[in-house]
Amino acid sequence: MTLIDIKNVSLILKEKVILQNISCSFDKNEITTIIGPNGGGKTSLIKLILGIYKPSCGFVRKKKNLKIGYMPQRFQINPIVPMTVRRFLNDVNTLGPLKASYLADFDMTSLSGGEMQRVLLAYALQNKPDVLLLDEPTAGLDVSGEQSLYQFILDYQKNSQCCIILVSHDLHFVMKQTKRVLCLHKHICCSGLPETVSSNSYYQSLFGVQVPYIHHHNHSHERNDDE
Amino acid sequence: MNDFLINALWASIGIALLAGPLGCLMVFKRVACLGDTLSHGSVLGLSLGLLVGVHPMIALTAVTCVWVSFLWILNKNETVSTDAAMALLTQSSLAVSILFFYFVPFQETSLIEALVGNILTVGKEDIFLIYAMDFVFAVLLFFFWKKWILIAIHPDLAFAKHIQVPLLQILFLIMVGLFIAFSIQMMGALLVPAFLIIPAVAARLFSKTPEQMAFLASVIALCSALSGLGISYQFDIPTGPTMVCMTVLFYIFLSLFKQLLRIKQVCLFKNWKERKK
Repeated sequence: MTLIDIKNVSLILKEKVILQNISCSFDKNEITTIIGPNGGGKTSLIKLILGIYKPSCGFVRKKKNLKIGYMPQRFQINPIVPMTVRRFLNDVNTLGPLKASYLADFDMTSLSGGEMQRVLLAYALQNKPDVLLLDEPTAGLDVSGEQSLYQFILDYQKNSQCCIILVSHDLHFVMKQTKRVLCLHKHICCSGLPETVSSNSYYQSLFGVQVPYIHHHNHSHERNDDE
Repeated sequence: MNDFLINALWASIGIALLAGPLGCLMVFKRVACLGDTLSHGSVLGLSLGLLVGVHPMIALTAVTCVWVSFLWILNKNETVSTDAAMALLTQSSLAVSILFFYFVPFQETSLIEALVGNILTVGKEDIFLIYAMDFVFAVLLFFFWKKWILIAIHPDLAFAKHIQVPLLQILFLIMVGLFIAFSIQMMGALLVPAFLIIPAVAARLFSKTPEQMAFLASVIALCSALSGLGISYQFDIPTGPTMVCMTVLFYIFLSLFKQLLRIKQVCLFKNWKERKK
């Protein structure tokens, strides 16, 4: 079932071509990761789907009454706005699975980068969205925070069967965990399974051949507790 | 009590009540200077009304709407930042309005009066207009308050919630413009923006939610308006500046009070630590 259908979309902002002839569609129960260099139009594509930008040509078609949860890129809240996390979220239950319930009565301005990311994700999850748009959800997180957030997103997707569109720079995660990758550099350079994408020559010219390193485990680690 | 004093009293209550929430939304949206732009636009409207000979309220409303649309168009232009656009409109309207005043043959209102206000000129019909505005704006604020706050936090989040962001932004600009147009007679164009911003900033010191802040800002605005009116009547000094001075005094008093509380907390914490040892 197609939730979002993008056909021949181009986007021109400030007389600059941001996106050119993009066609893709997003279905229920799949995770799509958008990768690409800076200025490649990843965030613009997200904003097109949200309707913040109108396509210069082509069209973006969405299913009727589609509920979209959106997590923007990291941002600073204006410190003059007195806002607790509880008030911002309305419903603090979504904090629970993110292990962030303790944040409920914090002031929004007092949150650290990682805490802010979790609150924003909790905000996006409210009202059980059909589509989840996550714009660099792990920006500013440490390695373990990154891992647990990605794990949470994967688990959430499995349970809710929703459609997740994710912008990420973390190629390790992208190559290991997602089924569909979209490499965006003004146009869609390549898309498909991670293996297909990483063998694409255009992709290799953008990210190099060595990155990402896919670690195929063929042995087990024995933990030495004596050390 | 004198008739004009009672008029002034009612007018300042009506204006102070609205100054709280509007001022809060302005600082939330980081457009604290918007007040200056629109109030200078109001001076232009006033001078234009005198020059052409239409009722000042009609000229004020018309110029406010035109100014809001200019601001909107300039905002869309990517080479002009919002603060630069606001400064551009502020300065140009001041220059043009001074010229207009120069050409008005018979001056009912002087330029100085437009800039610093004159409470003596507030009449019954002005009070009626102020309370009509209060009612309409209160209804609008009731329905759109939460949406405006979300837009102030992050416009894209509001977009994702299917909120009509541009429409609400323009509505807000028009509301601030009309509020200023209705209150420059009393406070003067140079001082109305202060009356919007300073109570909001003072209220931030002791509020946990946006609603608390709006309420507190209204209370502070009301107290400063009433005390300013009393003092100016007692000592026979200009009313608008006295009211604004009172808001500043409130701000200083509240921030000192907060500082004291903080020092007390630190002392308690130190005592507690020493006792633990």
